[in-house]
Amino acid sequence: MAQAAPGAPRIDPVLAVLALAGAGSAFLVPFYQFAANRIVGGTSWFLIPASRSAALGVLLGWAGIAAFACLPPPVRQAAAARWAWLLVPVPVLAALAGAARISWVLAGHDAVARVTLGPGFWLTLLGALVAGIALPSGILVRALGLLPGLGLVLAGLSRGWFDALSLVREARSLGSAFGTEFARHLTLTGGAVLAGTVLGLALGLAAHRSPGWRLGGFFTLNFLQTVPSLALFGLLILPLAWLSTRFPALRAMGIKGIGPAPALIALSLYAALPIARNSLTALDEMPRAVLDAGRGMGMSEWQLGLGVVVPLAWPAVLAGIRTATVQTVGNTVVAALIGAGGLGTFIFQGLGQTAMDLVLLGTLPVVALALAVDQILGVLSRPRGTRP
Amino acid sequence: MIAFEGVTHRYGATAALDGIDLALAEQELCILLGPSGSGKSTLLRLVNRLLEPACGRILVDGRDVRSYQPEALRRTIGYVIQDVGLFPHWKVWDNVATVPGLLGWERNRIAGRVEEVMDLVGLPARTYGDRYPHQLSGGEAQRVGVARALAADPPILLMDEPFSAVDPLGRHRIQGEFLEIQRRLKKTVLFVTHDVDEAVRLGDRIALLKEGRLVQYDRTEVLLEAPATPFVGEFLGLDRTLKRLSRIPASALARPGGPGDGDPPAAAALAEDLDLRLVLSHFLESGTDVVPLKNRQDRITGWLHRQDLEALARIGGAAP
Repeated sequence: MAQAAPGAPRIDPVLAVLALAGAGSAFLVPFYQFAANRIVGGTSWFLIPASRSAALGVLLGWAGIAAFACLPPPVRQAAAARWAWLLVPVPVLAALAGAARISWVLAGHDAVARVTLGPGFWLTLLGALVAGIALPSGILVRALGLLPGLGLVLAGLSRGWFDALSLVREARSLGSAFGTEFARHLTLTGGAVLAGTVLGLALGLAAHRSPGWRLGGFFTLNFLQTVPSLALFGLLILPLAWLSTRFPALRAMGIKGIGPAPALIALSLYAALPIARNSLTALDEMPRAVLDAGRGMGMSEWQLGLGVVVPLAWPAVLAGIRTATVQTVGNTVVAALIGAGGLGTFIFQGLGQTAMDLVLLGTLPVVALALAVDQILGVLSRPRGTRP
Repeated sequence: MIAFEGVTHRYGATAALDGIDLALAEQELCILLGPSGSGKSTLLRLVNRLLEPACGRILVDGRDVRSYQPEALRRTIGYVIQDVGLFPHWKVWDNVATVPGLLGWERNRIAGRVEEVMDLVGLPARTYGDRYPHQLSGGEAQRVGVARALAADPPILLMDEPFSAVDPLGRHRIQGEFLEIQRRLKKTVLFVTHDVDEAVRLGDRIALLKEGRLVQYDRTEVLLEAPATPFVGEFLGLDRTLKRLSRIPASALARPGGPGDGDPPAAAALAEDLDLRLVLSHFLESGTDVVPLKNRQDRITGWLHRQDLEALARIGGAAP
């Protein structure tokens, strides 16, 4: 990673363009909007009159990234260069500080007026996200860059710094519902991934052993994958409703045509495919000579399985779980439509009321959750210096 | 040590092996030679019960292999295969320690033994023990494979085309090294190959197989001198006389006293451990009829006459 690629360009084109676009979008596009209440349209504000100090912070962050992009390639690729990653949160924190300042001023004046975060803010956030991927980094640097900012935002939320932000006003009006649905979203996703993992591993193993399972099992899962999630939820309503009326015991367990039961079943089926496919590939590509040698030396099937097959297949299986989890976090949103709850509830409510802030309140945690899961599982699946 | 009695094996309806009777001599290296599809690998894998025969029986140490528990049997037999099959996620040290670990040896004994066998194959544990298999060259990986097979000091080695995947130069070297190891350790070895040169170089005896049947089983010299069927002669090659000479050291034909008076300079002499094929090449090249032989200390130890060599080369010529 630290070796200088021979053809490295003098200026990093990705970062340079990103810094230019980031700075440009922050100043050329409205950054915040003010509205007198939830119903009326707002007036757009640019960053410069809204908050000069925030503008300075955003500009400094992007200028720093641009300067890094212009450093000589060997310096950019040195191990110490990963500390430049600390620049990534700067524009975002500055923009948030600006929002906090405006919101604080406003909150003193008016209990229903609100500040909405505008396109400029979201572009800044998006730019920082891409920069966070493009810049070299390590786990330690990322933690150092993200945790203080996160702490600051949480502290600000609890102290009311952001109270006039429309997002916060919407969340406040939801009360405990937000926490409940968030927890339900996590439960649905976690349960589906867990069941999908068991199902996927079993199917991968069965398909590896028998050609019948390989054909039939994968045909079914591939077919299900082409059915839109909403349609699959719908298709499950009828049989589950029938089962529920037929067997009171199932009804007592909460299994009905609508609600969490069909959602969990459908989500598990979707989650199973990437896991099954990855575990099958891993088993198929297990070097034959390794298994032959292991058996020939007198390892039992258990010793071979736990000592050799599982460790060699593990990275690929974990990659499948990672794909499945990220996918399920998003898929769970749709489950709200059949009464399973989750963050999708707010999204669909917001769409119904054309309240974009409510939609955002459902969307942002989903995005954050997907990113977090992807990062964490990505770190776990990193190989330990060995190559099969 | 190892004996096959009327062994037949089938893959589906086709017979891969058909009534094989074969007894190995203890502490000898027996080559299973034959074209691909002749059943030589199948025969090898019957010994450690990776395959089971359709009929007939296989004896190890005079006991039917079916009377052993398969894993226990395999732990007492070294196993080396063409693609090595080192565990890619284990360091070289752990790979070599596999069988002693399975046998439940105590830690110190394993450590001592790993160092011993790694020295034996010329890869000191200090340098190579901490490497992962992907950091080894093909030749190094196969040396580790041999060390792993020898780790628990089994009396029997099964080797399935062990050096075929190594490049030709490296193969010649590793064959020489293995021959040295075998001279010291005297294992009973069953060695599969399709390479006649390798078979002639390494084998005490050769069993030639064709389409699942044993065609000829003899000491290597006998096989080269008197092929039992046209197929055997053809498979060994028209140069089988040269191959036979390649197994005999020059010292075997040395006679005291030379043609002239006094000893010639050592520079004109050939090393006495050269094989007779190379001596013949020397005669052809130089046009001489007699050449002095020297030992490692450059002392003249005898003379080799061309007529002796030719007499030996003639079919039926007296073997030394």
